[in-house]
This record gives sequence, structure tokens and C-alpha cells, in this order.
Amino acid sequence: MKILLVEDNPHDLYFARRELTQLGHAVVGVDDGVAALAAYERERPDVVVTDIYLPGMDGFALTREVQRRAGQRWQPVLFLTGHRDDALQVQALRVGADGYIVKPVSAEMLDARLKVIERLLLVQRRAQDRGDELAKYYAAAAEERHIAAHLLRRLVNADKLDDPAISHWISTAAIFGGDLLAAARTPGRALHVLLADGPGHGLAAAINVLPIIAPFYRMTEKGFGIDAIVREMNAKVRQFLPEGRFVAATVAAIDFREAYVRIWNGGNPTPLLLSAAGAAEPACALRHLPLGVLDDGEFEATTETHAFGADRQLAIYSDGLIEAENVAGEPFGAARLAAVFAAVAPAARLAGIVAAIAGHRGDAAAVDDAALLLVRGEPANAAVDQPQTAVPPAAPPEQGRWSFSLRLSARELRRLDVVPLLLGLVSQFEGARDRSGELFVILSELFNNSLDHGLLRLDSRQKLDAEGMERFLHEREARLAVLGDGDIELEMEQFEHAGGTWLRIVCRDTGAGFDHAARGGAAADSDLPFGRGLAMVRAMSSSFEFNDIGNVATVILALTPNSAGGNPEI
Amino acid sequence: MDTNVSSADGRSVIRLAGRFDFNAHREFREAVDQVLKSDGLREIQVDFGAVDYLDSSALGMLLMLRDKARSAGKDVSLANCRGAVKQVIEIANFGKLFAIS
Repeated sequence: MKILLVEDNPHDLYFARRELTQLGHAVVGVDDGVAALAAYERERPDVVVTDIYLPGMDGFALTREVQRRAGQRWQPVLFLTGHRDDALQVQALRVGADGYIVKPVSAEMLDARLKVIERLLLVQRRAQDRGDELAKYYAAAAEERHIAAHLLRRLVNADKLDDPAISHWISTAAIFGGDLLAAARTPGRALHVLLADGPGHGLAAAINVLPIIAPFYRMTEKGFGIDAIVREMNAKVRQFLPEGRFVAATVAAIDFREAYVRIWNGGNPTPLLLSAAGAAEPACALRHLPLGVLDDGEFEATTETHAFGADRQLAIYSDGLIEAENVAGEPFGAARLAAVFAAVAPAARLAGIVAAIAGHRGDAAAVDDAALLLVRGEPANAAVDQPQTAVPPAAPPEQGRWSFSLRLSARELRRLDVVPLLLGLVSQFEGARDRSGELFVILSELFNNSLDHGLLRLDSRQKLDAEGMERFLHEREARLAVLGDGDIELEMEQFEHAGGTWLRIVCRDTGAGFDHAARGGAAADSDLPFGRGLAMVRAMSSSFEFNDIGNVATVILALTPNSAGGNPEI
Repeated sequence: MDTNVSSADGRSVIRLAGRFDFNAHREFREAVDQVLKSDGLREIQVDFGAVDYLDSSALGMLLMLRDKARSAGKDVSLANCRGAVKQVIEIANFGKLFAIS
């Protein structure tokens, strides 16, 4: 250790210095109190060993000053003196000394006393290092949180929530929320909204909801239905999150033109449909499990559909909203929520709820994230969603208008290779001719879907391997050969709309329909050897819809680049 | 659809021509079985240069070829994908499953 030795008697200073040096210490010797203080500042010794009576400043004053300067840090001070006096000893300990040694003292005793101090210093330094390390970690974590928060804000494209049809509120208990809101428009201008609630709060909860953002935006942009989107989100949660991590989510698609809403809710409180007067009814009867619980085979993507007129509102919220507690620990509750909805005019409902929650919480701290999303039946800026009322195109249409319809009964279905037949006809028309690659896919998928599933009632799932495929084709031939009745009608029409040229393709069969929500759900890039067809049609077209029972499919294909902006009515 | 198989230096090429859809299943399967039997095979290339159209059952068949080839330790690549064929292959995101040249 480095020792500052303060002793005004030159003889004592000499011997004490020699002794301490022999014990292995580095010794700085001074002979008065004021010089000692200067040496203390300069040398930063591990231990101060001082006499009591000194010129300039005595040992007590020196000790007091040294301890003042050491502040929080432990600075060991030992008195080494010839005065054997209890009062002096007590005073020394009171001003901040750690020991009082009376001379003469043996080298063994001095060594033992210094060893005790050395041990304690070591312990203190370890604690100090740990504290420093902790502070460093803390600073690094704060920096990372800052970056992550920035990244998350970017990833969730919060600007899309500015959609005129939406109002929303989100309150987070930590820097990061496990509650996520997102909105995007399909190429067909339908509005897709998402409210997801990851378990817990803070960074971990925010990370939990990340895997579902990309499929939501990417698939909405391509015009996928929400059934396919929730299925993909479920797969992503299972793929990316640790086992046992689930994400509650509500996804809704609002078609303003047709005035309906389609909704899927897994694990969030039941969304509400509000009338103008504020009467609330549940928007979902089905109670799906949160995303990530079921594997793809068990997952249910079944959506529910409701009329959604201009006077209605859809309210989607996370459980944090009704569980927000006041100081007495009482939750806000669904009843209070319904009461606010009933009491406040539609335009003021969001503000009404926010104020009611704040009033209810009072001084109680928010323990969970809370989010509320309201969608109104008709956006304030109606022009955005009604291109048919927009200014008609000034230039005369460049493409002609044509349509045809071909209805085939079982006998012709057996005999004709229908898709090439139609493709040959379509290729006579300018515009459609250049798109024969896409039209082949669209026509063959629609036609085969109608024939295989609508009329022949075949199950694609047997196509899992080469043998299954063989069996499927064999079965197809066998059933087609004995098909007694059943028609397929294909209708195509080219038309002008909103300055663009479009092709409408309708495929109708007389079968009982099929569960398109479940079958059409496979992603275009699924790994299975079947079930990709309808997703491919969806990816190629501006819009693709089935009627409810699934025996009429309607596809709209944009033939000109300027068609992409508007979207015709189906 | 017509198929044509040629092999040289451990590499077999299946050339397809015409419309590749479910009707082509038997031809395609025979071509695949024939190729997998050839000696010293390392790589299988499917040449789409003369294919006009491709539908989702064709994609299913390609996936089956990939499974079979993988269990035999062979690589599969898709060549000369253009126009409508390329579009379908891209939508199905086959780039992550096959080498595409």
C-alpha cells in the first residue's frame, strides 16, 4: 500500500518510515499537518498514518479534513502516537480515524493492523468496480433503448394511422408499448387495421409484436384478405418468438364502398360496433386464440362480416383499456366504456374515453399499456374512397370495351380444354393480349378451383406427395367422367374506369361452394405443394373476392398503369 | 407439355416445352424419375425456355422434385425463366427454394 506518514519528530519519522518500508509499503513522509494535506492531495495514499501533535495542523484537524475531502470513499486513517490516553483515542476515532496505535509497537502488530485495512480496501474496491460496471451497463442499456424506440417508431409506420377514417389513442406504461396499432390500404382501397397486444410491457413486449408488422403491411399492400394475413401472422409468431409467447391481435378490413367490415379477433376484448346513438354490440361472436398458440393446421382464420354504414363506428381496444385501475385498484371496466360511448357524440368518442380513463386513473400509475382504435363508417374525406364520383377521364378511352360469357355444362367440361380456349379468345384483344401470362394463371386457378372443389368436391390436401397427386388426378378423371350435372360460367369484361382500363373476370359454378376463407388462406410462398393457387391470383389482381358460399369468384385486373390509383366497383 | 432429358458431366437438364399445368404431371414425373436414375448425377436443371405458362400445380410438382432430389442429395436449379413463368416463380417466392439462373 501507499502510506502517508505524518510525524514531526525526525527520529520517530526515520524509524517508522524504515519499519513500514520493510513491511513492503511505499511511504511518503512529511513533518507537519499543512504539508501533510498537500501531500495527501498529491499522492492519494491508501492509508494515512499520523501523530497527534504536529506543527501547522494537528492530527485531529488533519483527519477531519482528509475525510471531508475523501467524501463518500472510505479513507483509512491510523493514529500512531506515544500518548496512551482514552480521551485522545476516543477523539481520534470520532473525527474519522480507523485505529489508534500506541508506541512503542512491534513490527508484527503494525503489520497486522495494516493487513486488516488492506483487506477492507480490497473489498471496497471490488464493490466500487461493480458499481462502475453497473453504471456503464445502465448507460449502454439506456442508449440501446433509445435506438430501439427510434427503430420501432419507424417500423410501425405510424403515419399510416393518419387515415381520415381512423382515430386512435395509445398509452404506454414503459418507454415501449406492447400495444401496437397499424393501418394500411389495400390496392382496392379497403382499409386494414391492426391492434396487437404483446405480453407484458417494455422492450420485450414491443419486440414480441414486431414479427406481425411486416406481414400486415406487405400482404395488405398486395391485396390479401385478412384471413390470409392473420394466418401468416400466426405463422410468424410461431417462427420468431420463443415458445409460449403469444400476441393478442385484432385485424379488421373495412370496405367503405360496399359498406361492410370483416373482422378477426384473437385474444383481445371483443371489438364493438357502435350505432350513431352509441349503442354497442359485439363485432365478434367467435373467440379465437391469440396468435402463436395454434400451429397452422389448427389455426382458425375464420372472419366475421357486418354491415358498416356511414353512421357506424368500430371500436377495437386492448385489455389495458378496461383494466386501467384507479387508486383503489378498481378497473375501468366494460360498463364504463359502454356508458361513455352512449353518452358522447361519435366525433367526440375518442376524447371522451381518454378523459374518462384519465379521470378514473387519477393518481394511480399506469401498470399496463392501453390502446383504443376507432374507425368510422365513412371517412371525412369521402373523395378518397369514392373514385367513381371523381372527375371522369378527359381523354377518350384508348382501349375498347368488350365482354363475353361462356357457360359450360358437364358434357362440355369433360370434352374441352377450357383455359387455352379462353386464352385464345382473349388474345384477340389488344391490352389483354400482353397479359396472357397472368390471365393464364388467373383463369386456370379459378376454373380448376370451380371444377375440382365446386363440382367434383375433391380435396387438395391429398396432393401432398407424388403418389397423392397421381391419386388426385385419377380421382378427378373418374369423377369428371360421371359428372351428371353442374355448370361453370366464365365471364370476362374489359371496361374503363377512373382513367384506366380494367378487366373483370367472374367464375361461377353451380356447386355448393367451398370454404374459401380456409382454403384461400395459404400464402403464395407456402411450402406445401398445394393451396398456392388462389394466393397467386390474389397477388396478381387488384382485387379478388368470393361470394359468401364460395361458388362465385370475382377478379379485377388492372390493364393500364394508371388503373392502379383508383379501383372500380366489383 | 413436352419433356426432353439430357445428361452430361453429372448434370441433367429437363427441358420443358408448352403449358406446364396439372395435365403435365405424368410426363414431368417420368422425366424426374429418369433423371434421378442417371449415374454420377449431382445437379438437376429444369429449363423453362420453351414453357409458355405455369400454374400452381406445376409449382407443387417442382416442390416435389426438390424434395426427391434433396433426399437423394442432389441440387435443383431453374433456368431460363422469362415473362409469365418468371412472374409466377417470383410470386411464389421460389427464389428462396431453388437456385434460379
